[in-house]
Amino acid sequence: MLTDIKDGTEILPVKDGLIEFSQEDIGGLHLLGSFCNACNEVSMGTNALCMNCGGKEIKTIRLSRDGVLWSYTIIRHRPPGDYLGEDEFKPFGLGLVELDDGIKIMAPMEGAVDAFHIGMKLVLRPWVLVSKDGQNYLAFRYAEQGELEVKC
Amino acid sequence: MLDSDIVIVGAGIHPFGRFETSAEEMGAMAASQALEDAGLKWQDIDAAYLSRMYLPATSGARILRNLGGTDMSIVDVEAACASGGVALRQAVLAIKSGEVDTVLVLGAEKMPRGFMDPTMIYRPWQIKMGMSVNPSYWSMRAMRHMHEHGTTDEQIAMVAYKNHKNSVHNPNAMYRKEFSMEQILNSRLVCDPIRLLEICAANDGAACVVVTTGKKARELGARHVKVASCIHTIARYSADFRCPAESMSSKIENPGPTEVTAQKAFEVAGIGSKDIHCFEVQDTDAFCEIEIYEELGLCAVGEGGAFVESGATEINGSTPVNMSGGLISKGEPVGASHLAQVVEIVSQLRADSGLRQVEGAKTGLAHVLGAGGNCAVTILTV
Repeated sequence: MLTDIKDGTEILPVKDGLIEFSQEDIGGLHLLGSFCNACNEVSMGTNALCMNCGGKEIKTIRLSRDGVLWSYTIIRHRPPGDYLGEDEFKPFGLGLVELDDGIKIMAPMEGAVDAFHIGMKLVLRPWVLVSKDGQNYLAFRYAEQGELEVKC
Repeated sequence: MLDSDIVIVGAGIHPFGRFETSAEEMGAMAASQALEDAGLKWQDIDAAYLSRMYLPATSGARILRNLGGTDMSIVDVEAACASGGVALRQAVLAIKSGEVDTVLVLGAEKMPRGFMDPTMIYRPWQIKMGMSVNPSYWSMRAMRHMHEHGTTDEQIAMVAYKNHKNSVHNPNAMYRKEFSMEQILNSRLVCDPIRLLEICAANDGAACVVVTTGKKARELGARHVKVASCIHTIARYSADFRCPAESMSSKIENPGPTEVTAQKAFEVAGIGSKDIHCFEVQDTDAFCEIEIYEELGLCAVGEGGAFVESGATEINGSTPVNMSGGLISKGEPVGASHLAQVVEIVSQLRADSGLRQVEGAKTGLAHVLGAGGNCAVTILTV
């Protein structure tokens, strides 16, 4: 929730090298990928080696913010371990989202769980998580395109 | 039987379930049973492997010291759900090397209650974001299969119906209760479209086989079953989006780990899927089994749902699958899981399986698949 962020508190990416954003405009976030010059495959995050061919000539790219839902499920029970979602658990979608970059990304989804369907057009959205010790983390979700204007 | 054949001469199992009994006691019990079945003493064993994932370091030595003092090599191995396949494979390779004759292969596990500890498989950021629920990854495969091939909720439930029904005749299963289709389809959703009665539980258990050469088996006069092949592989690049997948390629489509591992196993055994009389496969959830039918070549891709609906995979069908009740009713003590499948196939090929016996079974296949794309396939023949 954007309103949970305390003024002046630095937001850390949920994982280094995965998300590009500025503290002032988290809504403008991008996911980062690694493009292999040898085999043209794209992997998620900034990696030193290509996960397909082991190539070392890797270029960091910004992944497309738009995607299409390729498959999904609905998580009906609170995930185990250090899950930082809402205190009061509500079922949420987890999707495999196909981007134009030749990659499908596994990611949680925002929105009503009964509205998800394969082929729906999605857009990347910021998701702020707060740890027990008060640290803000910037994570990401996908929401249906066209929905975000209404929500913001 | 050739002198150089690798054969199983003894099998033992501790029931799967939740017990106060320690892993040491369960493991020692299964090992002692397998030795007795083989007509061997612990001192006749040249080496041992323990398959486990959740037990502490050196558990093999801790468990097997209960059978007596030894100066042999005892090694723990781990490969997620395929751990048992790797342990058996190591035994086969060790015997083939000529250095040892007779090897004990034990699988034992005692798992924490509730969800598995996510830090064993997932990265911290995936856990923070709620992406650490194992069934969610299998469920996404099911959802896509339904979308592409029209597989139905009812067809998925039929797998659970069949396996729960088979379990009634297996004294080693955790749940030995038949459920109606209505009960299965009305059980609560865990991760859509997969429901509670369509999913396996983590639990405790142990299983063991004694492996030796054809020459030694003949000397013993043991009731032997040949290990025609035992293969382990890890999924190829982007071939499988089981946990803990972060992303997949949209450009490269590699065959899945079950298909690749089974092809290698068929090649080594010199027989094909149509020559196999009975199967024990990884039904972590009911949909998995449908996908495995297709990847093993038991039916065409997309027709797994219709295949279970046809009754082909019932005990008295043309292609019996999970006669033991599968993981859905036995539970999955990870390290013991594949070896219990092997114990079941041994029992089937010896015609010892009572009311779950596949008439005239002479060949059988055991398959496991899990985290990290770990897959193992073992083919047994008599």
